Amino acid sequence: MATHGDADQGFTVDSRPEALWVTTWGFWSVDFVPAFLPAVIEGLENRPRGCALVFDLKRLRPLRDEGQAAFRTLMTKALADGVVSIELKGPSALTKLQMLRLIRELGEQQRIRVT
Amino acid sequence: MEQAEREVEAALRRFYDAIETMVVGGGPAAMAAAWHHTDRVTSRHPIDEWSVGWDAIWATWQFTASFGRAERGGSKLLSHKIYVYGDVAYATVAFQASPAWGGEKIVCTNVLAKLEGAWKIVHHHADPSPAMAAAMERMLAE
Repeated sequence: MATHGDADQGFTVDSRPEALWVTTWGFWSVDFVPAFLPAVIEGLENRPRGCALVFDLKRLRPLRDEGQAAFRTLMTKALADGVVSIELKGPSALTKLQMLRLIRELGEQQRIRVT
Repeated sequence: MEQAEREVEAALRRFYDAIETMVVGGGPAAMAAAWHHTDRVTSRHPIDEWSVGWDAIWATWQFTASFGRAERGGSKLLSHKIYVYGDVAYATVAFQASPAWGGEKIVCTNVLAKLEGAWKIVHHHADPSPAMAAAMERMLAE
């Protein structure tokens, strides 16, 4: 499992049998956001096509525009590269709204779900 | 009413006027002006958990402001009481969300501080509003 960040902001990328599992926390600063996309894409590249991607968002604070853009780019690329489903688990109400808006903008209500 | 209390009340009204500005689509700039911008400010919105530091709080206001539309206005500061202790004050508030934002009466506490000669918000806490969360989710679909 790869860990990025510190106690205040960060994420882990964990290749589990059922999915690539990304656990997030804290408020992501502008300087931290660029670490997110390449780390998760690297994790996906080490998985066979057709895997699932899970984000645990329980401890993630609402994102700045830069963070929302990173999620948008990542989810778009993941689905284009063969990820079959994306699950966004446990966000707070405001973070949930950010994710629901992204899903609507991507038109991916079938393959991305918030739980 | 003493001078300090009048100044705190004016700062408090700027904060609630900024909310109304946001809900009618006027953007978050007035809200930014109502706060001190330091790492030692805190906020809890009616549909969120704690945010700590101005950068994190600003992200929540920016996103909230993106739901603003001209026809969604009508929030009201129903009542408030102010207590001043030197260069720090707090205000207990009853706030009414606009109908489009759920219309719920929400009880709030705000702490203000006088820093560099200006009274501004350093802490905002609003009780949870499930109606507001549901209203914002409906707005996404509009």
